[in-house]
Amino acid sequence: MEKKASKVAVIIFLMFLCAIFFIGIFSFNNDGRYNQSSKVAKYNIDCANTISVVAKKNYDGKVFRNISYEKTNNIVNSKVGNSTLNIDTLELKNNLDVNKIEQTAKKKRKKVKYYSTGSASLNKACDKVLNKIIKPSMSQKQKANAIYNWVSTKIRYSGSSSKDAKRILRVRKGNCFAFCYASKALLTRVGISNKVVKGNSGHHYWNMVKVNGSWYHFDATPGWGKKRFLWTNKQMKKYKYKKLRYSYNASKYPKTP
Amino acid sequence: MKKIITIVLCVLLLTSCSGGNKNSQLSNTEVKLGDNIIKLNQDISDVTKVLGDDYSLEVSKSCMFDGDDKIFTYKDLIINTYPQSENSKDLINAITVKSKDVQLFKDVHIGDKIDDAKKVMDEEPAVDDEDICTYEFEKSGMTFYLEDGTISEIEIFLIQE
Repeated sequence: MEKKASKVAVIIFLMFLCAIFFIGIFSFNNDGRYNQSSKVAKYNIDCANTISVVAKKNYDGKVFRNISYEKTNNIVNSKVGNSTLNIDTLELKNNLDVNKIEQTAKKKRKKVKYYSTGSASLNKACDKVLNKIIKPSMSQKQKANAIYNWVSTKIRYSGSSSKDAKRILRVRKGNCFAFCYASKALLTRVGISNKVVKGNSGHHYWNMVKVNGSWYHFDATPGWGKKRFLWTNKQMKKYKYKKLRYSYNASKYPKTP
Repeated sequence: MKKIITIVLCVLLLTSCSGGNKNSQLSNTEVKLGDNIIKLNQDISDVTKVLGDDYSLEVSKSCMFDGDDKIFTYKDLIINTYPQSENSKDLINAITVKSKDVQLFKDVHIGDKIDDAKKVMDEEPAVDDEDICTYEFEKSGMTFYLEDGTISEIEIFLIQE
């Protein structure tokens, strides 16, 4: 009886050892899978004032959309439409010791309008938000303020953004573009005149709104240290937060008080 | 001999228990892929060292921080980073899970029904819409992106002021 029991114990123990062995193999395979295919093409280039790079690789069903040059911390992006990459030489003049280019292959996507007025589905998405934050008795300024507060707190900053206002309201995340176009959709829906302002660098977007007959800046993107609601040109030009500041061509946009 | 059998059975019982409870080892700011734990606010260079360089990278000038926002897309994960200009680091501010192989702090997965996931979460969501369901914790959050009531993506993120 005792012999039989010891045999059973040994068998169980051996099974246990086998299980550990197979679990180990399975984990190893899981870790190894990242060495299979690459989506990032890297090039070494010689620096000169004029450089063009022809992509040597192509990816089925994908096109190259972004190219970035790295020089220590400086990265410059340029969009390209096909596999021939023409680098912006003006940018390169300031980055003469650039030594690496990275291309990102992205899936081709259907072109979406940034914003369309009168779209029933967009109106529905806007109404869903507005019903919670707007009361008919509110003044224009109060409505604009409620929209500002909602956009700046309920939408989350994320490094990339959809260009579709309806999707932005749905997923509630994005970069300045998302904050700007979500604001635009909501402001338009409540009847407040507004415009999109594009910063000189092309990296920052915000809105202007017409409240009580005057135009003001309205930037709901968070992280700039202060609420920038109904600001004048003077306030915008003067404002600095860490290394962030506003740079835009004021003559292209309505005058502020 | 009976003692030996008892010890072997106890060891087996303990090991199986710890294996089944592995999600509880993660916090709400972590995910686990294979043997690797990836954390919010972690330096991305530590992550690429262990996950390898099979990723696609999108870089864009940040409109919230001083520097560049980056998106590292791996097969199973999308990792967003924000720049910490003082020490030239890129820190993780969001991780999107695209695969069932990635473990979270709760036992929820891509493909689960949102109603089942809500039972597992066992708290009130901060946002509960037909397309997204977001839970907020002290310094982070978790969003389930939904398609017809089924989780298609899960994202954990830092709540940044």
